[in-house]
Amino acid sequence: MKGALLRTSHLGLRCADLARSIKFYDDVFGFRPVGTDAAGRTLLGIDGAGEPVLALEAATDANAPGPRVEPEPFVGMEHFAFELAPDDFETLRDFYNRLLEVGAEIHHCTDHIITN
Amino acid sequence: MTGDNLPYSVTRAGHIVIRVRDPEATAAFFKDVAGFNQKGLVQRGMHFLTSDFDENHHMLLVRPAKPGATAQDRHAAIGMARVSFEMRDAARFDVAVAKLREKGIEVELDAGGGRRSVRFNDFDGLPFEFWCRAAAGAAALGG
Repeated sequence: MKGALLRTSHLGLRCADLARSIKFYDDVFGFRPVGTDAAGRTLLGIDGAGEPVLALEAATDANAPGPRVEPEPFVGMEHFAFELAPDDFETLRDFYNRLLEVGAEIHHCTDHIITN
Repeated sequence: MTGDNLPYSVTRAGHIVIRVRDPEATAAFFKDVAGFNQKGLVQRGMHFLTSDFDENHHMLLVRPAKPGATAQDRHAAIGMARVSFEMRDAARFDVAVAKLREKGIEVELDAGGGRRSVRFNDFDGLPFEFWCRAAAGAAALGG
């Protein structure tokens, strides 16, 4: 049975450095601006087309603490996932290596059995 | 290498994982309000919720926060601000808004650009949005 929801749409993100984040999501994910919304957020779409998957805004305090992660206990949003194609382990490894190339911090890797 | 010649491509947004104080209550809330389905057992306290199991194994993963957990400061912090799901149609959207109101959840309705949206916080103050494409000639807001 199908529920009322059609799909996961997008995630709103507050960024310490908006320009840096826009470049990061272009360089690593291939996301590019598709417009702005009424709140002035920069909307990023896959390959700069289609419905936005991220809505970026500049944090009001660029020096605010970043999100808490394991092992610190917290109530809140933990992570947001995107699917990659081709759907194989080599693709995931290419993505992993791309993160390393741009100097991203890898928090952890996991094997969900059904996905990696 | 640039974003123009990556050896892979992102196909879609997949899922959000949230850590909450009462996973049973939160999962029941989202199943009731948004018609999420749950298939399979609860694993280590985690509830895998989706709208179409064949299409996407889970769109929302609700897992328990660890003892002593405190809420993220969602207003000031850098990081995830709000997660958004698209609803299949305006009729289902209206049902969801009504259910939120029945539960005493404060809702913020908006419309424009051919779509209608409702923003709300769950029990733990986590910010969500449901939206749908507005039917041609439909009233702007859901009431």
